[in-house]
Amino acid sequence: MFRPSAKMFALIRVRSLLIPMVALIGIGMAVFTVNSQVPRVPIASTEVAPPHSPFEERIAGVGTVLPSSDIVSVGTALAGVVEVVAVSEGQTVALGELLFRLDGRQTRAQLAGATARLGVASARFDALKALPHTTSVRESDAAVAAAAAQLVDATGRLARLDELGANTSTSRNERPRLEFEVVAAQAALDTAHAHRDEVLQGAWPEDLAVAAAEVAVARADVVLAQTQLERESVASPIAGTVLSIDIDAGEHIVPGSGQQFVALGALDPLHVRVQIDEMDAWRFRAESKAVALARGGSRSEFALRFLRVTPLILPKRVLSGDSAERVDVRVMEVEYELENPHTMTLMPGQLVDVFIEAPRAVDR
Amino acid sequence: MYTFALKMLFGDSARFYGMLLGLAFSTLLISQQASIFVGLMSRTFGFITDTPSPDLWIVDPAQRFLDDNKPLRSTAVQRVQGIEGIEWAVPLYKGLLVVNLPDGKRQMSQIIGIDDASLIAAPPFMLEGAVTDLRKPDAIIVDERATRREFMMQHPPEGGPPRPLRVGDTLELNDQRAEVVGICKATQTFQSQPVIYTTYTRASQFAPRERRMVTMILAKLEPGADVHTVTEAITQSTGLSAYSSEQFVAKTLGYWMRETGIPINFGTAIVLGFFVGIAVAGQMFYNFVLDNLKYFGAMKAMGASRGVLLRMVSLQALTIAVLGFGLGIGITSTFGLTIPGERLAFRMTWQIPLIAAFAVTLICTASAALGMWRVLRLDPADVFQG
Repeated sequence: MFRPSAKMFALIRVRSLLIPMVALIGIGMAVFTVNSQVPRVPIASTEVAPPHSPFEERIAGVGTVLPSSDIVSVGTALAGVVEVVAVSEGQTVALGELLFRLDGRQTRAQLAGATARLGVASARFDALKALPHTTSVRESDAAVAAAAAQLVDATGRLARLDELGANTSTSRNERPRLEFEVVAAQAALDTAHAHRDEVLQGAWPEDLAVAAAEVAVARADVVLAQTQLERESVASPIAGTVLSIDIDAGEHIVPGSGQQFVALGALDPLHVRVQIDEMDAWRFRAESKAVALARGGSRSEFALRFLRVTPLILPKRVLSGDSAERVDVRVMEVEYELENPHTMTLMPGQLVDVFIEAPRAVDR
Repeated sequence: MYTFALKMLFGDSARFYGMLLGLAFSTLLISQQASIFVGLMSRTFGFITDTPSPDLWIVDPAQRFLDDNKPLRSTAVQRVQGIEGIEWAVPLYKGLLVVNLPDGKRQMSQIIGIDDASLIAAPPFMLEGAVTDLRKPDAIIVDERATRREFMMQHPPEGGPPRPLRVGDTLELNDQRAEVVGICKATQTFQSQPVIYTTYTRASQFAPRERRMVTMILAKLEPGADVHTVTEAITQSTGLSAYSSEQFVAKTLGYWMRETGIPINFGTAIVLGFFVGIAVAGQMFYNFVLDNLKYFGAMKAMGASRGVLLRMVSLQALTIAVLGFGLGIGITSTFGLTIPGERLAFRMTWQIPLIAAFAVTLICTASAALGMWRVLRLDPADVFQG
């Protein structure tokens, strides 16, 4: 029979107590390990539920909030340095109100020159019109009188010679000379008369016409400079709100650079332009109910009134804000008006999720 | 009688320790290899389990597993939103980008771009900062593990000794500025790249020019909507595949199981552990029973029934099995708890100890059965003759 000694009993006790204890601890640790490695479910408390459609069957699209006037990007035809920006962002402007003005020093100088030249031309024209001068008239009158006196003198002397008798030797030589003097005096009188007539006539019509044309040219130059000056002041083409200003006084701007100098828009009412995937376009009905939902957990819902469909399927631009936007898919654009126009919680340019009630996508 | 059986077991010190160690080693091999296997495999779909909010993962039908990115068209998000039974759908960007550290190091990293407005698929645990800090300009959130490893700054810009990346540091993602606003804890990826979270829009600015930026769509079902019906509707109307989180995990796991040698490798080790158990402990237990045949014979002669003898052997087998298993699983647990998780993927699920226990029990039962067969056939006369 098996008879363990006392020492053996001690050993057995170690084995029969210590080892099972170690084994128990091991099993306990395994339970702990398993428990500690159960994947914890993360708390997604920061997540904001994305907008959710109020319609069961619907088309979803991304909409951009736009002013009813669309975004009016005011440009200029002239390049130059900005002198004054007369408005600030968010300001309402009336039709024709000054938005910004380019540096007009050169144009103003040109205008001054042109005005001066107009003055010269006008003065010249006036001087021509003022002819004849009274002194010239008197001078020519005097010349006529003098010539007439000469004629009287010559005629008198011829008459006196004839009274002396015809056969004196003196008269034989004298008479032809005196006859000639009468003719010459007559001619001088005629000349004096002609000169007087010319003086009395004043400026010639042809000269006046040339001078008038010169005045017109000078006036046109003035108008040109004034127009240039007016164009350097850029006025609002609509009544609306200044959405953004991308220029500062002192900045040199060049038309056609792609820079949006001043953007305007009529904010009342706001429109929403929705892009719908061409695959869903067939499901679109103009009379369907539509809502826009603001992003970011505000849970604001805006009813939309249908305005129009852009009758052209366009390549969609990825609205990443990147200037080099990429073509992804083709979309149909539909424009809606916000039914409650006084919702200032939406801003032009904001993206909204739009849901439009539609027939079932599948089973058709 | 049963006390005597135990005394027999504990008394034979050489055999007792031999069997104990054999079984412990077998348990260790089976449970440790299985845990590493499970740990490694769970890294392949860690992002799915990290993201509990969506019910559906909508991907290209050709996508084979989580990281097999086949980007979708951007309007696909709206088309999914338009399907009945969908509560919401948001885009997700997931891709690899080069990150430049301030000290000039370059590191390929996984960028996750989550929906800007809803922040769905945000990092599971924030250690520093808040997810909403992603709304700041150029903001990114970096995984804590990466800040100490790949993003360890050898030469911090302010000078001084190397330090981990921290909130306020700036990185360059694809040559564009990014500022760390938070540190999170995310499940390590299979390829162990650093994980960086940012918003979808920002991710698409960081990412190189691609036509399609939506890597996948995350969607939630309306309460009461049937997963199967909605999944079908998505496939029918958009041509995309929709998976529930469980399905997507299974699909990803299936890919790694089928397409890589990992399961065969670990499977071999586990089977080896089982055979070591049989070869060492099983054979030793059989020997132990044979050696003690004389005692069993004596007891049989003294009138002990077959049932009593059977139960004695079973008790011995069960005891040694429990002790060996306890010791082995204890070593595995110590190993798993002490080795940092980022060095070694170790994940002991509740099934693993059960499988190891079953294997050990099987080894002991098999060898006990063989031994008992001898005990039962035993003729007491043989014992006394010897």
